[in-house]
Amino acid sequence: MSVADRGTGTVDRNSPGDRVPVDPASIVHGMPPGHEHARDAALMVHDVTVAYDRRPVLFAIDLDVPAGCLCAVVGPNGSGKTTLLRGCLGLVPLAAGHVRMLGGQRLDQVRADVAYVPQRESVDWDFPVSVRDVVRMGRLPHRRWFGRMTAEDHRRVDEAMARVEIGDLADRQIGRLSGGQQQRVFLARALAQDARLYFMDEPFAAVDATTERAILDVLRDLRRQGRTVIAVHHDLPTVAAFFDRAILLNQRLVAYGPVDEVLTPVHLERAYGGRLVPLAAAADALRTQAGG
Amino acid sequence: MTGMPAAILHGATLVAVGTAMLGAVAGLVGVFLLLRRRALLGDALGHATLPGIALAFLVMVGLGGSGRWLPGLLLGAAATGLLGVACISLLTRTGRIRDDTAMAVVLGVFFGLGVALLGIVQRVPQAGPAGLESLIYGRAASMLREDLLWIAALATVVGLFVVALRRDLTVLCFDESFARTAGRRTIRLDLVLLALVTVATVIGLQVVGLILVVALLVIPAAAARFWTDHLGRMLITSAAIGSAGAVTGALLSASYADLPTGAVIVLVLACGYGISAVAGPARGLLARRRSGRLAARAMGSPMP
Repeated sequence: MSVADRGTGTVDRNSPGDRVPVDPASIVHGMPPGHEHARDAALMVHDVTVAYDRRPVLFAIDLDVPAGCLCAVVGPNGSGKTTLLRGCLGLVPLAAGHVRMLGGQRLDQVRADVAYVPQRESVDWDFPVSVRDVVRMGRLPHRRWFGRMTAEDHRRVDEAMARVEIGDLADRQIGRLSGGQQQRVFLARALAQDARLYFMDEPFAAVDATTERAILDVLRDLRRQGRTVIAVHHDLPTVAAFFDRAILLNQRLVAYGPVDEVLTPVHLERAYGGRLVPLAAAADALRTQAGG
Repeated sequence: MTGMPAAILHGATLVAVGTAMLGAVAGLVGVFLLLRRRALLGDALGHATLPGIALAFLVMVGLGGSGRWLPGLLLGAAATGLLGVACISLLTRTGRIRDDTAMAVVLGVFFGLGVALLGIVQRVPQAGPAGLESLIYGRAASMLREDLLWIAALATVVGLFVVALRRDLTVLCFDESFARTAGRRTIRLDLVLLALVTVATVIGLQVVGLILVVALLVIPAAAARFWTDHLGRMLITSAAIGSAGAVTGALLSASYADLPTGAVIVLVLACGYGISAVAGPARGLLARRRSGRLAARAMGSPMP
């Protein structure tokens, strides 16, 4: 596979059944020669395999995401979307392969430049903290243990809250917010971090229309500033409208590239096993009916 | 005769200061133990101190001492307490059992081992194990001036650590994944929290005893949650409740002949919890009713 393919073209993978499971021991660690040319890529995932309890859930994922794009991660439930994010972020150990970020660096070298927006359900919203407290956490990567907030930190926190229109909720306990507002709190925390690469897990899940528009607006701003967003997204019909590129997963990489080249019926059938395509078509038809 | 009231007063002051500091620091640490959802770990840790206490006693007697030197006993308590926690972690990682199961197993086994060792202790000729009993059920009145200094010093250290690390501990408890992506070694932070809980537990042994020490850690924090939605205020409230409950309980038990201190403190704290659950302005029963009524009125439905 040429480097140009990795950066911009569509990677077309064999159907899952065609591949023998990768023996982690057989994977050679270290950079293959081709990677040198992809230095400006925001994210390089090389032959990454992740296993829970020795049972692989993600096989030999290999892709580069160029800087300054919005990239969706799509696939059926259990296809390893969240695991891919968590693997990139060092939250689950890689059984094989490696990940490089922001011009070929290891995560440890660029922590402050890499932000994470977890799934909203992953935390306890009853927790006794205010909106501002959570957004302030975004400045944590810039501080050491025992560190204090600087004037710069406070300014970034205020800006981030204003950007997603939660400034007036700053002192409210986070449990007293709507789902959409909670999602915006998480987004504001990531914005306050002022990162260059953002990993988001289902940022559009179950949010109201206002929030959806606000988040989309922020994502496009980030792209305009040359930052990169990699987001798990579950709603296939909106992928093309929201994102530039898509990673289609089903434990293996089914396809990767510009959205219109990835979300083809052939690829979708390969990822979803033929169950989804009629459903998606039906949903599309309904949408058109409702809209017209 | 004239010396007696002064001595009692002095003893009471000693007990009050010691228990107040202990209650405050247990309240502080307890907040993070609660928010980290590790309340039961405090219980397992407390029970797992018993074999350490008995072993430390035997070792000190074997070395020719009286066996009742408090710092030695507390060191033994901390050692097996931490060993118990290590076993819980080992069991959940390798044994494919859930952590609540692992805690129950370790709590039972370590406490059983401790009871067995106490049987041996009782056969040691020079020792009626009165000194040890106070560590099991709590006996604030047995506190000496030297003990107070130990409690005060350790409580101060723990308190300072909690205050200094409150932001990092907050992120750890709220969103561990985020803390890790922010470059925090959460394992280290968890170990620090564990160490703080261990010290608070160990200095609490003499006052509340190892069986009930978990209550001193958890009840003030749980009660404080009803009063505020703000973590800083929750820490202060929890420390205040812990402190007030511990002092009241200790003085009550001292003045009403020989009730075990730990038990009285827990009962006092339970009253505090009950009051908080009803009257706490943030999440208490009355506050919830009021906000429910307001919400209903806002939606235009008449209240019965």
